[in-house]
Amino acid sequence: MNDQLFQMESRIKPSEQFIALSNEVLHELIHTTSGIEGVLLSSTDGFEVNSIFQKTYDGGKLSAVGSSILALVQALTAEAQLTGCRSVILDAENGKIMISAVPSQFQPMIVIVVTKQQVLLGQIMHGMNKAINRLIELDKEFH
Amino acid sequence: MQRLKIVFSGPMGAGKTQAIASLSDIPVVSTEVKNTDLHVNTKALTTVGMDYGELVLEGGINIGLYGTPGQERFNFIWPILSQGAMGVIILIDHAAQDPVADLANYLETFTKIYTGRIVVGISQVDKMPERDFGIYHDWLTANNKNLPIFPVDMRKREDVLLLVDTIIASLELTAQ
Repeated sequence: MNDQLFQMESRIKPSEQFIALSNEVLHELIHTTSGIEGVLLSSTDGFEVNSIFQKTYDGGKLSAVGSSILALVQALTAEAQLTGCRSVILDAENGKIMISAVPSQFQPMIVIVVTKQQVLLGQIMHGMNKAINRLIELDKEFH
Repeated sequence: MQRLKIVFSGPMGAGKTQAIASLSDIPVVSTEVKNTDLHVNTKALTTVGMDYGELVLEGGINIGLYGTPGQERFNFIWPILSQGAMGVIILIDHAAQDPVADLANYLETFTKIYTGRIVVGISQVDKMPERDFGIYHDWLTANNKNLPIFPVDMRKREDVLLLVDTIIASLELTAQ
């Protein structure tokens, strides 16, 4: 048990205040933006920080795969000589996934949003951008 | 130009990204991000997608060098990257807590997802000279496995090239 605790303590994790306040940010995103079925906040190296889902998802796996996808897409856009890759949109038959970078100064993260198939993408992106800006502020305040 | 593929895998901190950087004839495409998993390894950055480099050999043979992330939570990528590879190089950190267990774990995983040639490179041997290099041969023998295994310095191109040459040589032997 002590070994496990030591291992948990050796991970760089966001502060308790950040986690609590980021939870409010995610709640606001879900409740003010139509069509969102779940939202997850993860470190860029694939550890779940916070999530709100209507269905049962494996937050750990989503975090790992999502962080991997965004990193690969950022590598792709760099090779295509585009700068500042901010997000990627995945289109499935029964829904969409948006993965966006949260370029916080101290603890960079990603946000993954799962939506219904029929959604207004502009509205989703607008809601995500608002949430991301707030998360960046929280990171500065509570790192 | 003939195009081939070699995959570098192994636990976090074994030197996969460094090995590809040492060998690649092009700037390496990398997906490194800030590492928050300090209990596994204290390094600042960690690969979360893949590394990609290229090695051009005489005769126009172009080998794609693919590095996998090391942590288990990214193991979904390992079979994807291993598909179609002419060989997999498993790198093990000699100075890790239990490098033989690491070797056993990665061999067990990769023999389930990959049926081609596997070569093992042991890094950081100088960081723990008191640990006998024979522990790897002893484990391989006890488990009836016969794999090429070399101590390598991932910063040295000629060391990493030895691992690649071993895969190519074993392919040529099979072709005869």
